[in-house]
Amino acid sequence: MNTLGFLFDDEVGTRIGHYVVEGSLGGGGMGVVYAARDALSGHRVALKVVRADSGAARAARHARLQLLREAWILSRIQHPNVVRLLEVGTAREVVFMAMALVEGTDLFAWLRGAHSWREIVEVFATAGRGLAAVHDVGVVHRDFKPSNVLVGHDGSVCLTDFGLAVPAGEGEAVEGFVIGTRKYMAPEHRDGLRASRLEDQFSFCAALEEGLSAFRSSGGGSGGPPEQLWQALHRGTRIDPKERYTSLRELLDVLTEVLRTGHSTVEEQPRTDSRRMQTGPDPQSESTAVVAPVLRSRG
Amino acid sequence: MTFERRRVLLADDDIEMRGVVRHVLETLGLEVREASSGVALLSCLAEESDFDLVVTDVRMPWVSGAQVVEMARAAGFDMPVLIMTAFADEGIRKSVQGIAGAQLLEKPFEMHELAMRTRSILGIEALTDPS
Repeated sequence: MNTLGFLFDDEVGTRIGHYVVEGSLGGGGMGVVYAARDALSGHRVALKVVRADSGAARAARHARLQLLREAWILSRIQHPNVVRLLEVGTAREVVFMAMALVEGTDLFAWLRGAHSWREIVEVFATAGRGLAAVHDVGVVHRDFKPSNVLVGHDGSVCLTDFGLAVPAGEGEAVEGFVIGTRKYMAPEHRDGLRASRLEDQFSFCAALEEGLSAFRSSGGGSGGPPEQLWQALHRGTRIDPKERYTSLRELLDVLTEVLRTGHSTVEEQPRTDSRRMQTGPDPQSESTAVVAPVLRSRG
Repeated sequence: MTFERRRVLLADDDIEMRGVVRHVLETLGLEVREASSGVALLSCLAEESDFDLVVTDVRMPWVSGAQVVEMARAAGFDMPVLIMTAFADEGIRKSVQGIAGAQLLEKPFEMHELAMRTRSILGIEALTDPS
């Protein structure tokens, strides 16, 4: 560690508490995630720390508190499809959060490979079970997207990155801005309203529809997803939250049924509908978190 | 020359209590930002500009005011804190004593006591009596 308490990618061997950094897994904003080894147990972990290299003490302080908030939210959730929090702590000026390490890739990268529509839906449905468990404890993730789902080499699927998660009914836009990823963001989230589980359903369906876009753009045909699946995604991305499924579990039941009985159909193009958000491929990077002004004033 | 009003973050899930406390604080010339829950308190601290004082209730759904203050201290926030509670048992007293820069204000309290404590913490001279 350098004299300012900052961490850089090339600082393999750096100790943070009782963890020893082995490499960088990525990062964004002021946070960075390292692969590290617990010097006491020998286990490998994912270690998320606040990177304070902007030199602004105030910004670093806020980023550290945001990481502690994320750890607090994650500590409430225990599910095999949600990344497991191992420890949260401080070491000198660094706030860190140790999580179970998923050896593999993220869903964004995984989707670049060649997969059948069934494999894609199965992975999403597994991630969806994690998201439903988040909802069960009253939390809304608010940033479901492929890069926030980890796919292990062993086939495990884990939802991660709870940096924007809040309890349902909380999370009204602060100082006129909302934070999230625009291309998956539900309209009510964009409007700065309080968090609702239904906005996660929107993001989930938008991401799954995008993941299946190659099957849609090919015009369907033999081997493509059935119409029932497009209709389900269609309903989950309705602009009016009341027109979506009442819960993510209800949607997951439909996906399970599609996987069980689904077969190719002649016409697989989802119908266009003016009441529905367009969620096709976007040139903007999937992983880009955007800060957008609230479009509607708060009452 | 501009004069910036000092900012207070007030957290309590009781809207009536927030109204009373807000009135006292504004009478002292302070700008008040309200948070209706511990989660909102945490979000305001993490996402908004720094505050000169935090006044918070202890018992709130999801996360207590005291726990948020502990998290803020761990993150490096050092603003003074006034922690209000109607359940000041020995555990809470010791807990608050263990938080640097935090003071306990037991409910029910008189408005002039809140004003006096706030003036003392922020070094405000007594010009008006909110009671």
